[in-house]
Amino acid sequence: MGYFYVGIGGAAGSLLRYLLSFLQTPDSLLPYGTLIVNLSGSFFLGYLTSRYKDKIKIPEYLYTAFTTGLIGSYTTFSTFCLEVIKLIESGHAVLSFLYLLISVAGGIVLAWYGLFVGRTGWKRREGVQG
Amino acid sequence: MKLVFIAAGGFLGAILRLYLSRMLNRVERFPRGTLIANLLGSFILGILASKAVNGNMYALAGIGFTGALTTFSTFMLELVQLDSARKRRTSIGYFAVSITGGMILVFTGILIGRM
Repeated sequence: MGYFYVGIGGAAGSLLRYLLSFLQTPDSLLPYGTLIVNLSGSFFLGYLTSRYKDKIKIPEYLYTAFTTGLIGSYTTFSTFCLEVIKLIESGHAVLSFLYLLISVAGGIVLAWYGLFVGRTGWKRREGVQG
Repeated sequence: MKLVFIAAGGFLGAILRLYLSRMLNRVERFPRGTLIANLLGSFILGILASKAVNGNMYALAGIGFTGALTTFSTFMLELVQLDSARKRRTSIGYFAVSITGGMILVFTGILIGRM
């Protein structure tokens, strides 16, 4: 049963990623659509992962459908790699490296920040647990 | 109609990724399942991109299937989790293999597609 719901999440995530790919115009320098998708997805996955433990009361199969299914499929590694290689092939090596750097550094920081916010809450004040 | 193909591909890609990660990923270990999903998807997308596959077939296999089979968010989260579990060397190794492997396999796919 878990597989079916993850599949539904995967379908929804893929459609969402496709819609956001229209943010890119053919003359965009960087692949903004993929970048926004990958960075926002990294944050939300981190957030839900640490939030789920004690704050979100939903069955585990729904949680997996949202995280592994929807967010996992919303973000993409294959298109990211293809875009890096295509930028190099079209003679934009520096831009390609920049795209790789922003994606990876941004993704790591946002996944970490998502885990942090999920654990402490949005309105955490010093000494007060959210 | 294109949206139906994207959704169908995404459905299958996500299920295959879940299967691979359930079979091969272990907590605080090198995430082999995610790695295989990401590398396999990158290779297939490379082939599709250079075969100039388009329309509904690309929507199904490229945007849907390989897009959903591979994941960037889980990759990022696993790097952070390995690092906070004091598995920094595993984290760095996972990062290096994923990025270099992904680039090499996309490029190999492109070359094979051109043959």
